[in-house]
Amino acid sequence: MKNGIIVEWKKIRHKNMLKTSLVIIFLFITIIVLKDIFINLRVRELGIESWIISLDTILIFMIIPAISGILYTSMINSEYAERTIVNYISAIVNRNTFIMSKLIAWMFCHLLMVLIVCLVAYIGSLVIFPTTDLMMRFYDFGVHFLKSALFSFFSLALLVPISIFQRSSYVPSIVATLGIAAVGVSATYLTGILPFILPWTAAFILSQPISVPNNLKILGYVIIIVFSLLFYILGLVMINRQDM
Amino acid sequence: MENIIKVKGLTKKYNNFLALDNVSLEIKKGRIYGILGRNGAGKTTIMKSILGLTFPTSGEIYIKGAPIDYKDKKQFFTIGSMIETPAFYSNLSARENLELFALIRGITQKNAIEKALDIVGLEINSNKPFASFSMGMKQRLGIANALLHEPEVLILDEPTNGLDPMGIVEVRNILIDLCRDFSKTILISSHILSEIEKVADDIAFIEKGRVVEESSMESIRSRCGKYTSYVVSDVYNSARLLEENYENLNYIVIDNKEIRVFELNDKTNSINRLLINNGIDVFQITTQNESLEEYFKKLTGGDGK
Repeated sequence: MKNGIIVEWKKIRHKNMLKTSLVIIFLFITIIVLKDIFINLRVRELGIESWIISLDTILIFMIIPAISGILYTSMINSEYAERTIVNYISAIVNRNTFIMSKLIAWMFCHLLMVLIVCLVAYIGSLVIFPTTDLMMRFYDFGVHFLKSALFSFFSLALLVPISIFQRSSYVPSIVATLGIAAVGVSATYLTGILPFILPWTAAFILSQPISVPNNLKILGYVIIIVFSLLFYILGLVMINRQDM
Repeated sequence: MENIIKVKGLTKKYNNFLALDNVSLEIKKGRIYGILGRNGAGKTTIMKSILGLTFPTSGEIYIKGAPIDYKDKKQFFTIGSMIETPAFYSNLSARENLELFALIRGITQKNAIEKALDIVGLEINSNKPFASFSMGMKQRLGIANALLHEPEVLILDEPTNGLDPMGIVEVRNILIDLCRDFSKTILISSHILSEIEKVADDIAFIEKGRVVEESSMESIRSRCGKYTSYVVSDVYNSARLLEENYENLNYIVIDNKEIRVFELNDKTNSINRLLINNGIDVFQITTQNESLEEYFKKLTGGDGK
């Protein structure tokens, strides 16, 4: 598994896609933060929590899932399209290792994207919402964005079986990626139990710094964990039964 | 001689399409085994089944006498393969590609890549990306990749596909050297009869998912019958005369001008005399050996292409 992850990381590094993704995200968050510093002065009145929710909505649950989903689609489907999967998994390499290595490498890329948002947002927050306790602010941001990153990553679990099923076609998983981003953010328009029974909306709501009743919180966590595991397991079952 | 791979009653169905129908093969250690068949005959499916890339509907596969267990990856260290086309990461060089495959297979020998590239004659320090490789270089890299973990058996699917004549000769020589100098057992497939004929020690003819014949090349060569060809002015009367005068004579009529007589005992003089005495002009008489292509045509009832 360790070698599989190293191989995946080397493959990602040799492609420009991750670098391009990180640059796009850096530009997005920088523009948003600069806008809030110099133009959108009202943001100071709304408070830091509302500001973080707005960053989460735009970046962690819309832009990053879209970019991250496309990155994962490319990681899997280029193997089918270029037929390298036949070389890779023929004989010696376990199919589970193939998928798990990609999943871990993908998660790392996803976290890296969120880390950029976290760092730029942290620096911006010191200007917009000054504080003397820099370490506490850094800790709070770290915990919040790590939680958001993991939730947004797990909300993309549906892509695992889709990308295996579609083989060399990119379309279904790109449509699914954009769908997941749209459904996740639509949680802001849903009320009651409804947003907690869909993993994508539950992931969005539970990552926000807002109070949620305990029963709904538990329901949301269970839904996210169960659905993510289900999709990962489905992906592994599919790859193990697939004729190459 | 020991069987290194044995396939018994292998059947593969894709929905309603029967890709392999009760295929049995015995691949002997230290020999080159050629699978010959048209495109879509089932050659690649046999190889993929051995490698666990596709799962048989029924049948058994044995590697070194042990039943295949697709979950037991250690069993597959015996095999190196190149299936379909040599597929590599297009933006990486030969060395970088092989480094990835060596890493994923857990190969620890430091010189494994140099050794593999050296065997196939690829430049070790070139930074040229795979995308810019010629087809010959791609095929060589595919073979080098198959050799990386020093397997006993190489499974190569159409290794001369897409190569120019010189490239074909080079790959053929690599395969012969690997078998002769490195004691590798090689299973290759091809739809080109002459290619298989030149390298294989054993051969299986595959047609519509079935093995129509499995034999050693030596045995097939001896069975590729010797025949005498008569180019005559009237094939129909010639055929009638042969029927009337020779009991159970094995002959065929070709293109309304030629009669081929397959006969172990030489009857050339008597047939020639018979035809001329009956007013039939004999323009040409030649004795030839039936080529593998013709033998294949007879086996499959097709054009052998």
